[in-house]
Amino acid sequence: MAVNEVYFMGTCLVDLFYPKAGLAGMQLLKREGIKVIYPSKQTCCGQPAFNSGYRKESLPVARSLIKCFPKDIPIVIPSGSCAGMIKHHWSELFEGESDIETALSVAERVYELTEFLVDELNVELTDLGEPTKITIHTSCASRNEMKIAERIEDLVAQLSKVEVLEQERKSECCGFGGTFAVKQADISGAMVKDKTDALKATDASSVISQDCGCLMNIGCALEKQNSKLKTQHIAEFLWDRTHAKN
Amino acid sequence: MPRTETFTDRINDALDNEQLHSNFRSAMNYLMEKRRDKFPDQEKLDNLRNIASSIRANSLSNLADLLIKLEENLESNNITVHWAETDLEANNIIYQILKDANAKTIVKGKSMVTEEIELNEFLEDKDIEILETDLGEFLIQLANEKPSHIVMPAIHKSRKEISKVFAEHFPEFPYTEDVDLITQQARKILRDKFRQADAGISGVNFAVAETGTLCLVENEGNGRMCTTVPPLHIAVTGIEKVVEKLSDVAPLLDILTKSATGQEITTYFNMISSPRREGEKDGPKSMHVVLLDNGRSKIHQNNEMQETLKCIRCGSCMNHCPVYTQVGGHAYGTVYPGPIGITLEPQKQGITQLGELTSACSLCGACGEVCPVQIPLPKLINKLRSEAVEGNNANELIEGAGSKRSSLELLAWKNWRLLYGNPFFYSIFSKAATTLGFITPKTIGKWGKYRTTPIPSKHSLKEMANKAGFDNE
Amino acid sequence: MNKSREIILERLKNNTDKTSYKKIEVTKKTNGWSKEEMIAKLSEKLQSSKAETFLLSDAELIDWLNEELPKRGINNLLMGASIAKQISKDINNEIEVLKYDDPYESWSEKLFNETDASITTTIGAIAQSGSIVLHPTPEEPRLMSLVPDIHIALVYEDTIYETFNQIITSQYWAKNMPTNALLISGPSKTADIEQVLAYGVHGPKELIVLILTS
Repeated sequence: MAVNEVYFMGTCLVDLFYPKAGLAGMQLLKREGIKVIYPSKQTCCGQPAFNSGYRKESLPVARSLIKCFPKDIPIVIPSGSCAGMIKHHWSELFEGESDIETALSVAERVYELTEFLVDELNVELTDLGEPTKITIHTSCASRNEMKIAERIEDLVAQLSKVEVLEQERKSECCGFGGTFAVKQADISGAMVKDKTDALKATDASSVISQDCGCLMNIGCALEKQNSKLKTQHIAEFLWDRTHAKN
Repeated sequence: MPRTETFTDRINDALDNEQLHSNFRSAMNYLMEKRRDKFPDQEKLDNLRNIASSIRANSLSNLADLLIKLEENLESNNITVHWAETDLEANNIIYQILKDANAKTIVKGKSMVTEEIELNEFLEDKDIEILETDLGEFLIQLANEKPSHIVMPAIHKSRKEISKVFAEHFPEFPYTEDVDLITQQARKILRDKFRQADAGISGVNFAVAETGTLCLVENEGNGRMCTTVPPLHIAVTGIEKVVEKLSDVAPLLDILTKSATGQEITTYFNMISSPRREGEKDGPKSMHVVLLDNGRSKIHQNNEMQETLKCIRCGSCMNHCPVYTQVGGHAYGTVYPGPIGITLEPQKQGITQLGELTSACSLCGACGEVCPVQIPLPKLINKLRSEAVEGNNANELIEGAGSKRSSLELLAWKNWRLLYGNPFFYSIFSKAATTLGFITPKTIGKWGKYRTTPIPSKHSLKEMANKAGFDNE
Repeated sequence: MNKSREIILERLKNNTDKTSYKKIEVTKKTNGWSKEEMIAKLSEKLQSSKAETFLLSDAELIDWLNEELPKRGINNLLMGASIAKQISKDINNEIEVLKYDDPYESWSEKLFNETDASITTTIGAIAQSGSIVLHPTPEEPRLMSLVPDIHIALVYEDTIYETFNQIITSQYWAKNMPTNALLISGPSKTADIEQVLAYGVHGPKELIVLILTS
């Protein structure tokens, strides 16, 4: 597909908590010759309220997002979870609404970042970084909703000095689940403990993921446990290792 | 395990129980692996799921007609059919049948629907002895507990715990942790019970409308014993278990056993179409079937949630559920636990009573991926969440819809909507968050029990994008 | 009771969304396995469930029984009239031939406690799942394949089918279902205690399948 410009949607988490990951994503796309547009009025896909059952509060937030993407070009999102919300759940959110067709036409154009890099751009990477051992955590949304979890592995496989160590029960949920982490905090705590135990057991230096929700959950838990294991979004990881610093 | 007051109490009891966690962790790993081994080819699996789903959807979309046909064919096979709208009605029907037959000792095969109506308690109250004969059910009956999983009822118990229970009840056998020995001892004890029982009670896996046939899966042989040895057999089934044709059974059986326990097929597949016929030498002389509604017809009327009834009770969803793995079956406090439980039970018993169950889910989607009949469990769970807090448009078909609407939570989301639905307000909020991020408290509520607090970055992505020269439209 | 029936059916019929759901047709294709392949697959699957299989000619049956039964400590053998006709003349004198001539009630204690083994015919077998198929009859009642500790089943090689649906359609089951149709795929077992497999729970401890070639 001949693409020369895309919208980039950072996501609400990335905007405030992981902006470097978002910027790295945009740089990766720009390097491939794509014009990346960052609509300044973007906020959120509406998922937090939607998953809590408050669909009426979620709708106006989703609607304000639609206005940001008027051109019929791809919308690239550095999050399987947010991409999944738009692509697979806006149909439920907008059910019976007069603007459902508009919403669905936006949903159709959504790509998760690694999906776009691999499937649409066939990106080729050269590893300029130091040898390192990592472990990969794929989010439930990238696996079960977007079905693009392997893209992160495809990208990392191109980095010659990166060794990937696999953790036990790698496709088990990390326990974030958005408001689940607060509503059922103790169950979530038990889940993130099992996940961090498995990640720490690999002996990797960092955990790389497509989703900042998971990274926040896992990263903050690791920090509380005083672990040296680092977390990083795949975009930041790739950009750090593949662009010549001067 | 103490059955304490609230859902939260039960969850905390479970999370504090190391032994329970270890039992469930290893059991779920075992079951997931066994299932994975049986489905090496994703395309073949998807194909089989499509078929199984279409068979069940067909059953539901023609449910009334199929039940009438089933009844007709069962009756022409000399099997008496009873309809029970409620659990109490079902219990009374069963009791009356037993009373008429002067049946005092009953042997029972594993049946979740009889757990649902609390049949054992009802009959024991009337001085009827009812003995569970499936080994797992037999053991937990001894321990005076309820099943914690719909296929492997004693999965929450370790070998040691089982040996102890067994030795306490049967001091005539020396204490042993040898699984073979315990099994042989149980076999000895139960053989006489089968032979002397006045009646046998079973569930039903599939009821075939075309031929009036009841189908049962099992590995142990106790199901065949209960349905063949005693002079009277009563089968209890939910109304949704009917399938149209005999040819529907094979694909469902195939995907059921592979999904549930990773078996090619169970040791026995038992298809019963009548009581003892003229000239035959064994089998029950009389048979009854109780068709149980207990909330199912109401769910059926709700098109959005109707798919809940496709369930063939394989247990795959709970085997793959990370929440179930952490808390086990008893924490839910319902007959059906795990993903199918939190979807089915609030609909059956009402959201007022059980709406909070839907919070015990991270919406990871693992259940939806493995359900053999493609019930979109995550979507249904999320729908129940929205029905629980719905305001004016609460769906009448869902009992208690809107009952969980909280003014406090609504206010929080209204505020969130104000900030995130309006780019101008959001930009103010964003500026405040990035500038004042350093004052974020180190520990925030329950999040802080397990994690440090994330601090907003000094610059938002919007600022960085702008600075880096990216266009903004 | 009838009132409940009407209430329930009324609710079910009331569903206004009558989108008649089209069932996906199950493929009638088979793998085209040869007889040898089917025997091999059937044996392999049965053995993996801890059943035993032997390939014999009709003529070898009596020799097999005379050699194996004493070896396995079997002193009596329950059988139906047609098998009795076939083998009772030539079977070892030490093996008592038991017949299931009378209704179960008249001899239940002996059936449960004093019967070592049974031998039954089958109406076929399914290679794909490793199952033997029985339609018990007045001559070979249901409990024969359930109660004794050891069950010996005779499967004629020409009655082995690839799939469950194949045997159902080829034998016209839908037209006339027997009182009881059974698929048996191994000796009785359970994994209820810590997922550890144990055999001989309530059904037979041993299943021996004799595949008879013509």
